[in-house]
Amino acid sequence: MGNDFGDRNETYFSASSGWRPTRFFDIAGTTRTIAFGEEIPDPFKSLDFELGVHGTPFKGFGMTSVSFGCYLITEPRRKTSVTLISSS
Amino acid sequence: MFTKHSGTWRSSAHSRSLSNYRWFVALAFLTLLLVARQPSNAQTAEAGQVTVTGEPVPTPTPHDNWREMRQHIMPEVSGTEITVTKKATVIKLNQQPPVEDNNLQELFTKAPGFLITEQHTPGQFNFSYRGLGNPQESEFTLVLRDGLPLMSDWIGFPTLYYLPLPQSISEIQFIRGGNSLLYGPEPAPVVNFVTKHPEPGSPWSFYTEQIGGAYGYYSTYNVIQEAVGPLEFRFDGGYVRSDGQRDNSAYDLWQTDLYVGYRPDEHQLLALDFYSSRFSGGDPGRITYKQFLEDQNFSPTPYNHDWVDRYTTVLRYERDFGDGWLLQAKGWFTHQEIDARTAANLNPTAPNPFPSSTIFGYEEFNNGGADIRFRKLWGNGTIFKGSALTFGGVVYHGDAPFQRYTLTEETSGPNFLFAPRGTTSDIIPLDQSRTADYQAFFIEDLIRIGKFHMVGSFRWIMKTSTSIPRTRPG
Repeated sequence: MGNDFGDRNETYFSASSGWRPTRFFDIAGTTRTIAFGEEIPDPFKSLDFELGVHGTPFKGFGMTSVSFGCYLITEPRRKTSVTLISSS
Repeated sequence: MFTKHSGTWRSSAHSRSLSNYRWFVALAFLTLLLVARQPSNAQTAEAGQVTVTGEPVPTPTPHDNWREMRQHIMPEVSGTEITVTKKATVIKLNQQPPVEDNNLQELFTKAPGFLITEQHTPGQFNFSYRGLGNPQESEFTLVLRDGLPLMSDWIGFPTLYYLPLPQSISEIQFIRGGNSLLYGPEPAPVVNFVTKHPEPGSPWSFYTEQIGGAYGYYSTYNVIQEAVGPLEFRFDGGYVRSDGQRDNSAYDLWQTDLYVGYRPDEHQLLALDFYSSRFSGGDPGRITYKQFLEDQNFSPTPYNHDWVDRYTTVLRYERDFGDGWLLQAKGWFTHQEIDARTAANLNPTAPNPFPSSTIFGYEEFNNGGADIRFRKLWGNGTIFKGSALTFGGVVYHGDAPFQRYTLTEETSGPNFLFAPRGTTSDIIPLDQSRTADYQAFFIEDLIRIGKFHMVGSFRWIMKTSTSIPRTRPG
């Protein structure tokens, strides 16, 4: 969702989920193959939030975005996750 | 007294002087007025009256015509894409000098958060976003060209071994949050290369570029194009070579792009794009920091080599039905080969420093699909003015056979470490048959209520499968 304010500016917030499919190498790599009956790893999952503002406050000065994002990506096989909060 | 008297006299003399001066000025001004009022003998001509009128040009949304914003942010509704409420950067390559010699840092300098792990040769590309995931082969980002995947296999092997030459690209789009709903799998962001096409109505033109540099670098890029009538045409070809800074880092890269478009009227476009690329380059291998200090040009694998060939055909149809309806349909097929001759590092301390065998790997990718999208602008004349709805679907299938052969002096002769491409042997440590399928439907709606707006997106994955019906790993 977002809101236009002033002239040529927008504040916005987005939340979205993504995923990374099971690859060929997740099933059979160059040196190892998943044995029959062994569980095939689930796809990676990602979740990200963005809160920011972008626009052109005045002519000649443009902001791509001033945002704060929280990105979470989960790799089920290793049972680990990485969370990163950053701004740009 | 004396002083006062004297001062009075001086004052009277000064007043008389000013009075004379005023008379002189008034006389001069009167003379000028009289001269100015004299009728001129010069000939004059009256121009015909010209009346200029104007009216606002309608745009898809009232927020899309801000020229300043469009220099670095994508339109909020671009074709069948809704990018409002997302961080969507655009890099317009005509705003920066031509990027040469695999200089990806310069190419993406306006994309904050996008990390590039450099490679010696342009035969493999390593991107990641905000440090998430392994950057090797860009497996955690989705890279597209005109909305279609550049990955070796979109689902089963989402790696990046090909990028178009920057000269053939008009802009690079970065869509962060919500990209999965626009284009499919992989975490943020989507990186979309937009191909240059001739502007409708543009005449025949030819462009050539020849650049040389250090380490035997040479680049040529040439374009011929026209779009005078309903038939549009563009052909560009480029060749890049370099000896490379390190030993065994020389490469050759050929690329061509062909575009033929037909516009039966201003609302329709039927187009064919054909992209080809051939890469051949050495693989110098990795060195330790100690080796780097001793000789930064040292290659521990002076016999390893990579080849990447890629050919893509895209057939697309676009139609503006009016009343806010737009159709964009694409069908594509890609053939890609990734071949590599890979042996172990040199062992300088051994009596024979060269490895006793090498592996020749042949990966082939044949994939394609169809992508159909609709857009409907709605809400004009109501409180929902500027709203838009998009929906569509994609069908994808890929085959990716993979073989590896072991070459030794016994199987391939004494020059086996430098065996030519295509060499095989009876020793087959790996033989795989791999397939991938993907089908999805998406719908996205932008609802504007005055200055407030929200976007709801939904992508339904109907089928995703990755299978390896035949495998023989070592």
